[in-house]
Amino acid sequence: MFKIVGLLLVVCGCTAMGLSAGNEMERRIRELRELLKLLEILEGEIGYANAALAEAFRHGARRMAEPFSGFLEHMAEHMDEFRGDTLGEIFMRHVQEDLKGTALCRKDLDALTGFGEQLGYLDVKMQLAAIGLYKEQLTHEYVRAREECRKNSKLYRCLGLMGGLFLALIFF
Amino acid sequence: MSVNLIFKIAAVGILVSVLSQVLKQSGREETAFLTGLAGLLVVLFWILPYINQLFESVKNLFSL
Repeated sequence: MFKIVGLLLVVCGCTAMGLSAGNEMERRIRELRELLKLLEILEGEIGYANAALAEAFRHGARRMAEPFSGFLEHMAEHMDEFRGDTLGEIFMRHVQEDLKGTALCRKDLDALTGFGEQLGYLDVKMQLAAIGLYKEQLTHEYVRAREECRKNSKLYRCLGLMGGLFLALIFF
Repeated sequence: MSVNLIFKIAAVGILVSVLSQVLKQSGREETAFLTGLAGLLVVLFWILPYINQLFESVKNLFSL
């Protein structure tokens, strides 16, 4: 009896791992889409409203959902404190603190940190150019991630279930 | 040797076959090959004691 319960738990655990891996991929795609939306908002705020960066972040925070709204809000607050940190340092700190629980991978977070270092450089034209460049890179990454998810998400779910059954057979 | 072992080997065979097909369809031929190899090793591990027993029996039968 306990053996069967144990085996069922093994199968359920492995299936859940597979489902979790599949869902993580889908979550990453949603978050990449949110990042693209964030860039559109920043572009609008800087290009058309001529807002300063802190103000653009604050306005953007109101239009975004968590965790990006928290990320933008904390950055705006940090910038308003005038502690002498560069925008790159502020970006890096808040990317590590506010976005660590997201599904974005190391590569995505590094690219975002790199964008932060470019953003605070020179004038509005440079900022818009930096946003345009990062948006292009992000769009490529989003398309690639969506293709990868389409191929792998069902595979991970299937692998999870099959792996669980395989382990259950070995331990039976 | 119980009949359960034969059922277990059959189940492993079916699982490995399905898994290999799924992996090949996803373009992961190497992983499919490794899965087949893992299944083979598991089954060999199960039947090794019986093979050993067989050789012992043959040795005893012919007093070798």
